[in-house]
Amino acid sequence: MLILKFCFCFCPKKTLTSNTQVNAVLMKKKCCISIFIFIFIASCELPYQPQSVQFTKYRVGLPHKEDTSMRAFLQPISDSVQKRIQVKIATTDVALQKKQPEGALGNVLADALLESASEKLNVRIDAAFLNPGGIRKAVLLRGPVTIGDMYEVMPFDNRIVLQEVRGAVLQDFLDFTAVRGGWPLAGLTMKIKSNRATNVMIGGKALMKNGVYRIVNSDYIVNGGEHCSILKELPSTVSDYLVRDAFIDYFKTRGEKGEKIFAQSEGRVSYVQ
Amino acid sequence: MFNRRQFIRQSLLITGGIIASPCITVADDSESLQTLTVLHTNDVHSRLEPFPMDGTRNAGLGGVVARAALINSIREEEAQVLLLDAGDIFQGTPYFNFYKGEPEIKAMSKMNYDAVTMGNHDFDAGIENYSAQLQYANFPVLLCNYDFSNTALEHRYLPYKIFRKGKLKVGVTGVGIALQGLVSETLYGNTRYLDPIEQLNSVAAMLKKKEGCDMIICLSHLGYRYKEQNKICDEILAKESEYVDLIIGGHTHTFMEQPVTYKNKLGADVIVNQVGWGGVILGRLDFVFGKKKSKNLVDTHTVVIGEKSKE
Repeated sequence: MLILKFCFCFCPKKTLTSNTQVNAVLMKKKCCISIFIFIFIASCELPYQPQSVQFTKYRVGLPHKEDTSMRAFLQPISDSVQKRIQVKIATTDVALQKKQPEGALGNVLADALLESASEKLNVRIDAAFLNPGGIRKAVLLRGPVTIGDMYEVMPFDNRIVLQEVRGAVLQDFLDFTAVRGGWPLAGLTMKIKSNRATNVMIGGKALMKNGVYRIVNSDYIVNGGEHCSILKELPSTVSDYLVRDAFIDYFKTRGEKGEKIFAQSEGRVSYVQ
Repeated sequence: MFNRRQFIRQSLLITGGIIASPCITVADDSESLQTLTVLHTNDVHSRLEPFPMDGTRNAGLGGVVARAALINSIREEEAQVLLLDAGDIFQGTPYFNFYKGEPEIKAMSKMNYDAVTMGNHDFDAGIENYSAQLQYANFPVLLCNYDFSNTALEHRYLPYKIFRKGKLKVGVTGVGIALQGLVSETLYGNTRYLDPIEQLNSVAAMLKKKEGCDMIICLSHLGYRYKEQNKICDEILAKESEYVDLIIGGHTHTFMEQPVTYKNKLGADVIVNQVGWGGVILGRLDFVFGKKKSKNLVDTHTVVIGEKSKE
């Protein structure tokens, strides 16, 4: 073995190939050796492959270590963000929960959308809708509400879209929300029966197929989000008014008056057999 | 003509080379065994700061300051590291509303991410905005199943990238989720979604056969799995894939207990992992590589998984 290793010292890989070629010419009859060499050279080029893996899950921040360079980068940005979001705008009287088919948080947010949009766009609006997937906080705790809370509730910069739709289209849209377990809404009440919206009362009257209704949604839904294709092709007014700003304005108005925010489930959407 | 003595001498010389040569690759483990440490995140959703201390499950966890410190400490111990993200870097905190993703991309560049793929929420301020924020990125965006022709991203993404780590050649690509119904068309513009299985297998075959990659990683924003059994997800992608060794997933915010191994279409192991969301968890996978036993590409090799003991 020692001798063989010694041999290798004088026969590095680079010259091995040329030796092999020379050898192959000279030793035609000894082809078995050539094959052996060929196999060897081929084996040198074998690729790597994963054989084993060990996994680790680090809970980031435990133990808490700080990267000073990253802290220096983040601090001024963080200070600026905190300054903007720590502003208190209102107080809630109860914890507002997100629930389906109906919940206190969804109700107050839909009311906010309807009221703020009516004022901002200066039109009477019959009904306002929110998709539950767009409300990103499960509960707004009792007590002070900040701008930051509103960003957590509605992180998306969705715009408010106003549409005039026929009663039949509105019925289709309500059926669509019924299939999805009931959506936060304001301006109407309905019952869900076998995946359909029934007993729809809008402005205190039963929904009329041939009536025309003014509704507001987020641009996300109108543009086909949640696979909603019902409102997409219909005429619409896309405002620059963000859904979140509508919430903030509603809460602010009450905060400034010293009114506490109160909401509860009140039977806007419920299941019937 | 050579005589017998010359022949023996020649043979001995060559045989010596044959026997001795593998000694440098086989007998010496440091040469034959290669390691790769894959660090990964997904769905960080603009969580630059830790979750607030409000008594909820993730309170105090995450944040780029702590993540950077952790990554740096791992880099001090491991030479061959790949740091990857499976998309949805954007959206979820006011940082994104106010700065449109610039601090997120800058922070990831500071941490030296090697590659990312795109999530649906990365389109949230428009494809033009995402493209503009990439001016702050020192890492590529990898996607093989979006056709970005005639979009702002047309020249700002790569279908795959090959990384050389020591003696290893690692091919990395990415797959994105179907955008219709999930993202407003006004935001994704002319982006065309292509079949992820077809596109991935075509890129993976090329990386394996033409480029000779030792490992292929796919960053995926398809989601781990769904109630709808036929909806494309990482589980289906893994089973239908060829030549892919690892799928780093996202979108479903799944906190996986441990990585899961599937048999791919050729009978070889493919590992899927995903680490929740919000940057709460940093995933780490330490791979050990050995030389393949044959040149046959269609092998059915297995990869042994174990949990790294806490240090």
